[in-house]
Amino acid sequence: MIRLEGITKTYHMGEGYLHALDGIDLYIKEHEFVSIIGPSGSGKSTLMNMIGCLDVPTSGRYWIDGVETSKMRDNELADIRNKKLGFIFQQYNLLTKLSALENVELPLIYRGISASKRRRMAEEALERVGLGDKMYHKPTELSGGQQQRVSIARALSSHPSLILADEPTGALDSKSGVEIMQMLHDLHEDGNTIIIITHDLGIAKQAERIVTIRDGKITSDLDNRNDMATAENVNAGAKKADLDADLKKEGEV
Amino acid sequence: MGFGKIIQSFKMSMKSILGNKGRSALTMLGIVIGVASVIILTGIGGGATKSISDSMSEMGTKLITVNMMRQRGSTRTIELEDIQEFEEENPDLVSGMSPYISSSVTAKFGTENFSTTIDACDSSYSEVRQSAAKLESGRFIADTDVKNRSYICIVGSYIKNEFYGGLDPIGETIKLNGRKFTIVGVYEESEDSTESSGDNKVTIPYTTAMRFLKQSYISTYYLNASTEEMVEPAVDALTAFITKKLGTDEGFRVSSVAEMLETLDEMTATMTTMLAGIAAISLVVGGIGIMNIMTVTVSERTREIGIRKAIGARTTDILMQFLIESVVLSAMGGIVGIIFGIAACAGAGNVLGMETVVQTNMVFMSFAFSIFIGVFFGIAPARRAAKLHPIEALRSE
Repeated sequence: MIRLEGITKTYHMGEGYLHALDGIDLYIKEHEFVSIIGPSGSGKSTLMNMIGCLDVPTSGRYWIDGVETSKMRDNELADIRNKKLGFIFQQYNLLTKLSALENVELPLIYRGISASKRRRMAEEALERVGLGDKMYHKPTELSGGQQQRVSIARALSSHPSLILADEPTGALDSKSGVEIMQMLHDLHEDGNTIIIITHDLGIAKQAERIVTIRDGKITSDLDNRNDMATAENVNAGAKKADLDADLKKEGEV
Repeated sequence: MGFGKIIQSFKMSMKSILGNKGRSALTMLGIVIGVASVIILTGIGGGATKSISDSMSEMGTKLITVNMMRQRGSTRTIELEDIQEFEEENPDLVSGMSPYISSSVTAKFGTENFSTTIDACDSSYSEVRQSAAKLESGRFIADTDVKNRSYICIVGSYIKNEFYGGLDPIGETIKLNGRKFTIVGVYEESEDSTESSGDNKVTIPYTTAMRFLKQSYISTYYLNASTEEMVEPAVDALTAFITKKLGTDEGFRVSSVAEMLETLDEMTATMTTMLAGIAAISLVVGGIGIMNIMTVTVSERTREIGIRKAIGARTTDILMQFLIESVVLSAMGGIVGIIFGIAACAGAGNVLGMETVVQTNMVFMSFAFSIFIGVFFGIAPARRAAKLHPIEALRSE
């Protein structure tokens, strides 16, 4: 599904260099529900940009659905984002001048799908997230939770290989947050592959697998279902207890 | 870049333009003024040209004029017989010729003196210059009048109205420089029958005029080209003929109305281009306004661009979206400008009594130019938008 090998991202900062990502190896299978957790500045946003094909690594290789993207040019990356990825952002990132339906149609427009077909696909996606009656509302006429559902519908509409959610509940009240997480669980049940990037342990723990990142390195990789480290765990032998301790320490910071 | 995407970009740009009506209108204003002024200026220019060329065409497009300048010391002069010889030798080029003498004389009717113009010519003048010799009543000069040097005349409508109370003056007499002339014909009114107009004239046989005005030499001849196509060859042949007779190509001039019209057309074209050029400067200024606003728009919508790129918009998608927006702005400005320009031309015609002729090619050209302006000045901001990095664009507020 997706595979990262020795991914690094280095920023030039004045005299020195900042290693935002420092040799990331990660493999995520189809139908997995993975959370990537880490404090701010850990490199998790940079990692998300890599996985989301919004940026290219300084070195290392990245495959999505068997296609290597690490050396792609801007337009090729745009096509990958359009066809294989569905983004859910903390700030929803909807276009305020467009209706819910038009927002959901947008990725399909860039894919070149005919007007009638993309409308049907967008309507389907909006019904899937329970907004069938609010298709013609502008984002400003919707609540935060509803806006996030529109953005989920937008991510879904093009039937992507991977749904990438960046702090999907970060801007929501707890009730809406629970609803959104439930929706992601449902999508996972339906067979979607989902990655959540978060700093919230409560959210992270809802995933099947928890990857912890710190200082640009993966520090633990746990199978959340049986309390055991996965085969790909870079810190072989890490236990769920270690992760809990790790995260607790973070909460204190 | 499929057709569907272009339609979509067009819809998006309309949304954005209509979402900011005040700003869009102000942005378009420069183009509106530019296009309207191109149309108005060239329309006025076209009107002026039309009225000049109309009055020239009225003289007859087949008319050829020979003017002799008498030169001191020249051994040979061109006489009536020479021109007649040319006419006889070239029946395919010219049909009809008339010598012409013009002079100012004092006419006397009863006790009233007034000044009038004498046109002296041959009987064929009525064919050579048909439009200048349209009769209301009576007859024109006959061959016998020329032969006998008769003291007969044809008078303009001013004379008829002023001195004969508008009644038919045929058979009456009029005194010109003290000589009695019998009126045999009356011209149609050609202008407005006032003293200073072309309707204050008297036409007499040229033979009479030569004796009466004590002229032994005729310096002007009018010839009628057989067809419009023959005007140029006739002018050339006549020039060659006179040059040969005189032994020099100086001291005379052969000209045609067609030639003058051509010169006028050239002058007009130059003037129109100049006017359009000046007006086009305001189009360029309008274009800078569009570039300015598009730059602001791109800055304001950086986040939108980021979102679009994140969900898969290619560089060309973003480029086209903003390019189409600036072209739509300039094209709308162009259309409004055309409406204003044509309305202003019609207004100048009706209200100011100015003759204006809207130059259709200038309408299309100014519209095309305004589209070009939209592309030219829109490309830089659109490229800026297209080249934004998605992550940085998403981060902006």
